[in-house]
Amino acid sequence: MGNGALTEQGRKTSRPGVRRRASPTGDKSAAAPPGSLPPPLDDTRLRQRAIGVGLRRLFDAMIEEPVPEEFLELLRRADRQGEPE
Amino acid sequence: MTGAASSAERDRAFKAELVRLIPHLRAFARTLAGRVAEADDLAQDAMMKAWDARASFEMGTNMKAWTFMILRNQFYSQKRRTWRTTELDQEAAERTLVAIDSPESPLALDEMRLALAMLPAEQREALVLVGAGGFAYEEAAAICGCAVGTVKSRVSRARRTLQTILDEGSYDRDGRPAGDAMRAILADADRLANVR
Repeated sequence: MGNGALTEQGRKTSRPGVRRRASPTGDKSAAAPPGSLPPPLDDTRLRQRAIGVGLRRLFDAMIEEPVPEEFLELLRRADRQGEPE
Repeated sequence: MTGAASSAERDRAFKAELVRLIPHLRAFARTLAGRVAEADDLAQDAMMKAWDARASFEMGTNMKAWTFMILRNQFYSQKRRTWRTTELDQEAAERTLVAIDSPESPLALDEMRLALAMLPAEQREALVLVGAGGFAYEEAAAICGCAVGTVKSRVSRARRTLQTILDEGSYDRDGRPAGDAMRAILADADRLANVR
């Protein structure tokens, strides 16, 4: 199987009509300058994708934080309580 | 193998999986509760309830969804007992998602955190479960105790609202124009999309 970028038939899975957004970090085909026309409809999908990535990053950042020892200690104590004498 | 030995082995497997889920429980608790300490209390309560109820868990099924359901029920149970039954107000929303205590946290994460905190609780939890927790709509519906269609609707509304907040900068903080939020998030997402 492929990596998800292509279907089994080798077609691209990207939806038609969705154009790739230019990099906001200075790419030569950069997005419209501030104060210009409102973004095209396709941008909505791209923005939603960006929000999805941001949301996962936020959650992942919390998950990656070290677990306080008291969590493990609580479990250890509970586990010991259940052990036969 | 004796029954006792089998039970001990099962407990060990259960405990190992529960330990693996602790970071996820803490993260989900933070999206529901207030400060880090409150969120960790909630996560600890849920963890211990899960441990106490381990006999009722069927190994091999989705323990993450099961523990998230316990945590969520615990949260709303405590909320009913201790909170006034008022709508989530702005102050509560601000408390809901606590800061990630890392100086390296990029701007976009902070903006996302603030924007997410402004969503109504039911939309936020649906979005977090589906959009970040890795749950299918059906699993999120089981966790939240509502219909699949309701979860889909909440996620959809949450996404739209979040985009509006980030686009318009409906919040501000530290005198910094929040309209920068979407640009920062787009930049961050773009960079990550190229890395992953």
